[in-house]
Amino acid sequence: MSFDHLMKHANDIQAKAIRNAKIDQVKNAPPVYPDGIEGYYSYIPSMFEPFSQMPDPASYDHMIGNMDKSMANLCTLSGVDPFDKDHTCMINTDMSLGATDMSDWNGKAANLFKERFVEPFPKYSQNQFTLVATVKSGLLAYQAKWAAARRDIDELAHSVENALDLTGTQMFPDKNKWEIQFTVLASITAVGAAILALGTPPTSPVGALALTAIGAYAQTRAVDAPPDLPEKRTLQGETAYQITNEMTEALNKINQTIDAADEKIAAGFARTLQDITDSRRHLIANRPALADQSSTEIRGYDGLGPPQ
Amino acid sequence: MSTLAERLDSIRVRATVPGTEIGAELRHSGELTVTFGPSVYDWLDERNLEHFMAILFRLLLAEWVRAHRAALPDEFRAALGPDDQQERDYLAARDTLEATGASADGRVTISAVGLENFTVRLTPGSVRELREQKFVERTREAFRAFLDDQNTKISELKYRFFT
Repeated sequence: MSFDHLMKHANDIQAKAIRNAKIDQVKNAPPVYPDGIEGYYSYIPSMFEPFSQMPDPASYDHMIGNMDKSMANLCTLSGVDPFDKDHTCMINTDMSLGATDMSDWNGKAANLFKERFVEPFPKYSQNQFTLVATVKSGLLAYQAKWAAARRDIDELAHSVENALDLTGTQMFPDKNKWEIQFTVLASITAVGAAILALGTPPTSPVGALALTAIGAYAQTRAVDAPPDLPEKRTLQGETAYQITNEMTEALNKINQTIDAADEKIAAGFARTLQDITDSRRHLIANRPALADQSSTEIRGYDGLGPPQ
Repeated sequence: MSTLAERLDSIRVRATVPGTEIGAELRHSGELTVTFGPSVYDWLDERNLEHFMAILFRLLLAEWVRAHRAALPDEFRAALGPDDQQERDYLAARDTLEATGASADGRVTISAVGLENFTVRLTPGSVRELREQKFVERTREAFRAFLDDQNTKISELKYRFFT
C-alpha cells in the first residue's frame, strides 16, 4: 500500500516544491521568501510525520477476532451478526438447555428454576451475543476510520506531487486544479439498532428493546439513514507556494475529520453503555434464589428437598 | 509504476495534413520533426508550404493538448472545465494570446493567436535555397522559439489571473 511510503512522498514534495519555487521566482511570481526558499519549505516532512504514525487498521483484527470468538460461544438463537455482513456464527448447540434436561428434577424450586433461569437462558446468551456485536461494531468503526484516513492522506500526497509535476517545467494551457475527497466521516455511520430477544420473567416490558451502535458503513447489513457522503474539494495552484498552501489546509481538514470521527465513535460507545444499563435485566439473568439459600432451606421443599 | 513526470516525458503526438504526405511529430519536450513524402518538398512553393505548415501545427498542437489532458491523473481530469468567471476570463484571454518564434536566420516564422490560429511565414526563396533537411531544421528551431514564447506568455497570464 502506497501509504507505507508516505514519508518518502513528503520528502519528494518538499524537493519538488523547492525546485518549482525557484522557477517561480525567476518568473517573478509571488511570494518573496525572506528566509529563503529552502528554509520556507523545510516544514513539509514534519507536517506529514504524525500521519505516518497513524495506527494500522489491521491492528484491530486481533481484537475483532476475539469478539467473533465470544460471539460464536454466545450464539444460541441466531448467528446473524447484526452489524457485520461478512460474519455469521453457527448456533452453539452446547448452550441449548432445554426442558428435556433436568426432567427428573421436579417440585416447586425445580419449576421456578427452569422457568426463570433455564428456559430464558438462550435469550440471555443471545442478548449477550448482540451486546458483543455492538462493541465489535465500534471496533469496526475505528478500523474503518483509520483505513479512510490513510486513503485520504495518501491521495492528497499523490495529488500534491502530481500538481507540482504539472507546473514544474512548463505551464500547461489549462488552469492547474484537482479534486480530492475527505472520506473519514463517510466511512462510519450509526447502524441499524439490534433488537434484543425479550426474556422472561413475565415482568418484561412490552415492546422491543434494542442496542444502538456506531459501525463501519461498508460492513453493516442495514443502515437506518444513509451516511454522510464523502466531502469533495477542488484544490488549485500554479506556484509551489499556492499548491503547498492548499496541501496544508487539506491536511488540517483531514485532522479535523479524524477528531470528529473519534467523537462520533465515543458517543456511540457511550450510548452502548447507557443501553446496557437500561437493558441489564435482559442481558443477565437474576441470581437464582437457590444460590443464597441456607443449608436448612436447601434441604427443604423450597430448595432441593422432597415434598412434605 | 511510472510517475506522472515520466508519463508526460514519453508523450509524442503526430499529425498529417489531410490529403498530403506532410506530417510532423511533436514530443513533450517540444522537439518537432517534420516529414515529407518522397519529392513532396521539391514540388512545393512558399505559399503552399506556409499554408500546409499552418494546418499541420494547428492539428499537431490540438493533439498535443489532447494527449496531455489524457495523461492527467484522474483527480485532475475530474476537475477539467471552468468553475468560475475568473477562469472563463482567463480562457478568453488565452484564446487571444499572441505568440511567435523564428529560426535564427529569420527564414521561418511561426505565430499563433491562442492555441489554434497558426500563421507560418517563409522568407521568399526559402524553398529554393533550403534543402528539405535544412528546412526541417529551421522549422524545428522556429517552433522551439514559438513554444518558449507561448509558454512564457501562458505563464504570465496564469500568474496574472490566478496568483
